[in-house]
Amino acid sequence: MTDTELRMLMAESVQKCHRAVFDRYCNYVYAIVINILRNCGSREDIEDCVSDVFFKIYKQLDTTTEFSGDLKSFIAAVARNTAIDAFRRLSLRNNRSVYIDDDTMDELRSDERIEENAEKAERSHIILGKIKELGEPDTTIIIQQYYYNRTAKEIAKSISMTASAVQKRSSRARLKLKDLLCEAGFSKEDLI
Amino acid sequence: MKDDLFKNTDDMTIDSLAQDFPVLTDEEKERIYAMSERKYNNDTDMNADKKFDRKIEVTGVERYKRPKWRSASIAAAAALVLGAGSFGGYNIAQQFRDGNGEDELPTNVSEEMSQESTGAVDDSRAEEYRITAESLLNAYEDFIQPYNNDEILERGLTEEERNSMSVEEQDEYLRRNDNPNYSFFWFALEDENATSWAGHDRGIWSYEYYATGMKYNNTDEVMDKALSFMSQSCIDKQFPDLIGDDLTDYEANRIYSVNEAPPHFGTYTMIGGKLYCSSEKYDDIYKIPSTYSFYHLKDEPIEISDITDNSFTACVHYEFTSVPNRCDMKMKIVNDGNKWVIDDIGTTGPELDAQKLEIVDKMLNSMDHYDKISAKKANAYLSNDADIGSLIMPNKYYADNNALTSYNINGNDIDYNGAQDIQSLLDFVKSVDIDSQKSEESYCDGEKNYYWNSHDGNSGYNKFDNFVPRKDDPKLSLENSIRVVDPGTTIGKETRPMNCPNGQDLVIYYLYDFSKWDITGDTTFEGRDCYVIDYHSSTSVEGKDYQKDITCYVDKETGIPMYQQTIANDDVYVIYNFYYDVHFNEGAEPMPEVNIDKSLFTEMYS
Repeated sequence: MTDTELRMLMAESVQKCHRAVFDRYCNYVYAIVINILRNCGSREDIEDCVSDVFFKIYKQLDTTTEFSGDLKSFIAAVARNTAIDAFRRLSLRNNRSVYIDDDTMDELRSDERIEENAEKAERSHIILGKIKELGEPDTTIIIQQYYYNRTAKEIAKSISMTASAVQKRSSRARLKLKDLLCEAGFSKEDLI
Repeated sequence: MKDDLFKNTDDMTIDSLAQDFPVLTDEEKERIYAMSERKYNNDTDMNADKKFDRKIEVTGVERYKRPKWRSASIAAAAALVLGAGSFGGYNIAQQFRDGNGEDELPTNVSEEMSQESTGAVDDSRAEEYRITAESLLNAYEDFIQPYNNDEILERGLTEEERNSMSVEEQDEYLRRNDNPNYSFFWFALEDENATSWAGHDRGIWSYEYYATGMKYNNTDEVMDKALSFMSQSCIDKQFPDLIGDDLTDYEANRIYSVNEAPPHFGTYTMIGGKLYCSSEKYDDIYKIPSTYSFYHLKDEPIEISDITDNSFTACVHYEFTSVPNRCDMKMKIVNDGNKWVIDDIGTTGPELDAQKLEIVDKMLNSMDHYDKISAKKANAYLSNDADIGSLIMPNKYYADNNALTSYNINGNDIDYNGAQDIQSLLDFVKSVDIDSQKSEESYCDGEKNYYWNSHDGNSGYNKFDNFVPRKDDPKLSLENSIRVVDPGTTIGKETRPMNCPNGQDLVIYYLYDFSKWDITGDTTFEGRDCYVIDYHSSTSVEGKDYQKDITCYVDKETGIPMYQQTIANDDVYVIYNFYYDVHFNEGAEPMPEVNIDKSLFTEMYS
């Protein structure tokens, strides 16, 4: 979404602009947030965090529509920071005997060195590529199950299958994926 | 695989996942969008002219005193505190009970304020008093925001600066500018009644200090500000925990045992000469917890009544859109000799339906029966979509006062005749042979929860409910897991929302709006006398109507929703939930609170 588009939308209606930004980027924000909160937040926590992200974006839009043509990067930064803040808060709530120190936060940010980033990106690309090799609907099942924490029932509904069939396909797909990843050089210990 | 497969996913892959594999349903999108809009509209820093469509804005009065039921359920508290923005449940739930736990309708206000508003008063002082009231209300709204959000620096970074930096730049900056002053300080009380939330009596208190952005420098300034527009009695009533002890001498980041004398926790506290404010999130924005938090005024002018030379009543109209009643706020304003101050605040409005209120109250507190109840629960899903075919997939739960066992049934292998009447479904579920049909099983032996499934020997654990594998357990494979609810504390009350029959979710998500449901009759279900409740909701979303209909039987004695049928118009399923074989053991001992050996646990983020 360009700065011009934003300006035009804001001029027309604040609500219309919000809606357009939300519709365009909600899946992106959700994917960023769940990547950070997957293991510490409930579905409600994650949705709450996503709404926090858009709330902050709306506030920013009140002051400027100039994002140097890169609204997406701005949104990604807001989403990441908001999710990290939520992680800290939720970890405190869920795990109060464990002090969430800066090391943990650094691990979350996990972008300490360029080499590590490159390695991480490479690993992610290979894994996603292998998941895509599974073919549909298995690819969607695996991603929804493991990236988005969706239940078999929810996945079944989204792809018009029965939950039982989803479970069976998931089971087979996981075995196949393990083989694919082992062929690509991943050890089983890395994945299980 | 579940935890590691997508660990350290890079930005480009996340982007790809979002584009190629979006997961949000329309209903989820609308829910999140509504939450974000509500937060935007409720942002008190906004100018009124920037708001749009004020009619859909949720305005109103919120009470923050802890209601009785809140102590019964951490899950409910989570849903209410964190999800309040999305569901409005907190608003209405808070209206049901005041913090003292005694029955009190939201219509109750201070006796001297309970008289009907006389409307606009023909008095030459009315306009002057109206301006005074608006000024005081603005002062109140400003006061309950402890920070100037736009000025808060995250370790010296403004939000704008932070967002303009890459992750690498942020990390580099944070490494160079690490400052413990920006760390959390938190304290908790170890007690079965302690909740995981910052509250007014027991629980976790976490505090933040910012070098910039805080409105006050010390507790004296906080009180000076409060006294500049409120009487002392009003402060005592609205902000009973405003100022806590000086925590300088207390060890930070620790849990107090019940045998220690804890400090008096307040919203504001001094630590090492600096003013810290409780950072726990209340509703949408950081706010000082108070009995009332007011959203922006509507366009309607404040009504002034009961005018005397040294006092008057100001009535501000708030129209709830997500709760059933119109509720106005009244301020008693007095002149203390030097200035006008708010002396009392209360609400008034039409009385809620007493019978509905009683039902909802029982549902919210239905987990009080946890120690004495045993019940079985089943879920069933019937498809209305011919392409999918009719199916039934019951899950069974057996809960008693010591343990929980649940089974997922491999429904596809079960023949069901598709009849959608309640008795047929119930008879069918009862007839299912668990041993031959189960696909998953979990059980609790009073201390640990174990999980088994028939699909895959390597992936049979479910972390969604906080199951974490035990690395040191010789039986360890992912089939055997131990439930981690709150390492270092206890298994007990916090597991109850999951294990115990209760009606909280139904209230929090749906029945809080009294205008959308009716008591349509009485019935007996599984030997229990029940109210029949019909709920109907219709929401227009992007040119299409989304409807949800719920019929439920609510046990008159306990508030447990014995039967619930849910139909959504874009849903291919009709969902049935019911409890059966419900028994009460009045002689049962309370469920033991079990201390967990933390060394048994795998670090969640190691």
